[in-house]
Amino acid sequence: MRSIQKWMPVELVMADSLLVVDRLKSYIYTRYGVVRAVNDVSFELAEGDTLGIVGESGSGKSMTCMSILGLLPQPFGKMVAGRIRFRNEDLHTQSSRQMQQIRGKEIGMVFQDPMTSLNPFLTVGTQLTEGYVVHQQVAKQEAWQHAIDMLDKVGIPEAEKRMLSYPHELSGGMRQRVMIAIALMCSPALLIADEPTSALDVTIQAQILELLKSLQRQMKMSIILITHDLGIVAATCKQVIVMYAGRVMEAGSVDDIFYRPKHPYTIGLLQSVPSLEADREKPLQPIDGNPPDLMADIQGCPFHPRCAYGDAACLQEFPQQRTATTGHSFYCCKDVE
Amino acid sequence: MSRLQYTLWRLIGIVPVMVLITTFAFFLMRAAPGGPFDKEKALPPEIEKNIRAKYHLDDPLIVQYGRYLFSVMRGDLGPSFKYPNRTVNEIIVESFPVSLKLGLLAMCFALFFGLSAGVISALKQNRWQDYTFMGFALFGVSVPNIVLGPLLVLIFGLWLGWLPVAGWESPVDAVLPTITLGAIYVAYISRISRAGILEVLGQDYVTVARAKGLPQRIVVFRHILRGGLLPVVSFLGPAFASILTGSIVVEKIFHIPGLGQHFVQAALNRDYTLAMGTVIFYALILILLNLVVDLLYTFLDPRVRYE
Repeated sequence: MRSIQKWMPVELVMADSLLVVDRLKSYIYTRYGVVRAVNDVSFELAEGDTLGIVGESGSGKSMTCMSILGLLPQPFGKMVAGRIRFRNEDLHTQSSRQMQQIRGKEIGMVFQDPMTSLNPFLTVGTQLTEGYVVHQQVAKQEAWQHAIDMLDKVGIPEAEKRMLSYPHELSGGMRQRVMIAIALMCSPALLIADEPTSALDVTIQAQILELLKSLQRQMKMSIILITHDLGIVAATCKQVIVMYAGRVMEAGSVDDIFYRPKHPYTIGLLQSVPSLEADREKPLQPIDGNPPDLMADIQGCPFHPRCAYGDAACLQEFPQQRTATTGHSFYCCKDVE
Repeated sequence: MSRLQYTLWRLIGIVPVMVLITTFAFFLMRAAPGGPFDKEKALPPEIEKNIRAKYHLDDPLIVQYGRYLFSVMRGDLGPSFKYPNRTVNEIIVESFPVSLKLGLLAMCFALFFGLSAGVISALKQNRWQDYTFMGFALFGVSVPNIVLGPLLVLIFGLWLGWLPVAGWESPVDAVLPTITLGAIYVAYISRISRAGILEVLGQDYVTVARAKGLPQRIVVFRHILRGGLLPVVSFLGPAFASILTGSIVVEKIFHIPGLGQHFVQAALNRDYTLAMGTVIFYALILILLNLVVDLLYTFLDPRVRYE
């Protein structure tokens, strides 16, 4: 029977989700205690879609993505539970060699800070081509030509000349374009962009986001966009998950999250963002307090101490998943409108 | 500024530094009590007068200084006061190659073991390999070669009888002096390279390299070592200079006919010209090695500019 399965067309075996993250838990074991960086996070990403992961610093957004790539900080980080399925293969059971094949080739990643993400000792050309040479098993000249095309594609003028530049000779926006070109060299099916515009000027931000969107259309890839900027999410994403203290608070389509938020945290986030339509006289509403210490043993809902609706019931246990509409779920025991 | 212009500038800059060093060497030497011709039994006054006249020691100090400075600038370090008929230049040319050979051996020894230990320690941070190597490094830094040398001689020369206790004739003679001289630098280099690599390991660009799916080998050699070992390069210049001058003690322990021996003897004998000449020669080497390191840096780190 095995042989029959082998010969089945790939399309029939594959589910339509490119990436399924199922009850993922990743902990960081520090000298001072265990940080529950990612705590029971689940989401799905269909081919060609864009998923936004929103949350404050330390909410576990980046660690979720590092878990997907198998790049949790070593030797302290460990994925302790859950499953990550990419193209119907369980990433956690892959050998480190197989993970190397997936990283950079199937899943590309763009990091937050273009100033520190490029190796200062190597030329742009070397940094663009090295992954391609390894994954595609091609000669250096071929990779070089492909890299020039890629630099062209991300809008870097005089690409051929730039290949020989060192990172310090480029501006921040240019460097981030180079980072994107690096991530896209092997035409990955999934691009993870971890705060790709946070370190850039606002005008450059818009350019980079436009670039990502147009490249996504051209190359038909899925994107996970990690950000703390709700404006970026609204402009680029289809699905959104809102994270807090390592947990998913609310998940849904962009419209669900922006127009029909159910979780007090999401509502608080939306109220703390200035908007053109809002009453100018009305002050912005910050969320008081600070995120909890992830090393502490958190009872119940982690947002409870900062929540306007919190009461004793919230301390009992972490709230069950509730569904507002199909595809829109949230974790709160209160009914908030 | 081009690399050539920069190099020329730096070479020109050596001149005033050397003048200063010559000045200091001259006056410090003269400030030391005693003179080159003091013996337990005093020389008859007329003979001493003749000798002093021969070496111009009867001129006013400032005239002597001027004459010495002038001859140093022409590369002539003068005649030795203690070895009749021999110039300081001759003595240096004859004995420095021995010190240089010993220094190079010690340096290679230090680089090989220091880098290996440092790299492994950093990549296995806080595991047993790290603790073992860093324990040895602490030991190496703490034990001076004046202790280590005799200890090695005792164990390998006398008890085990594997290696000669002293001398400088056959290649095996070099083993113990090389270890004695290089041990502390093994320790330094391993600690510096470990710290440098650990710093690079935390850099974003290393995570990026991993995220590209590069094999561990490429991540380590291309992305980690290049930046991580830069601090070692800047340590090498001064380290090599002090290995050359530091061989004084080791040369003494193992009876090696190097420049260090002459340096010690000259200082004790108040052989003014030889002592000053050695100091000036060592200083020049130190300056040149630092220049080499700075130039090397411009090749290794593209961010460094010549200014």
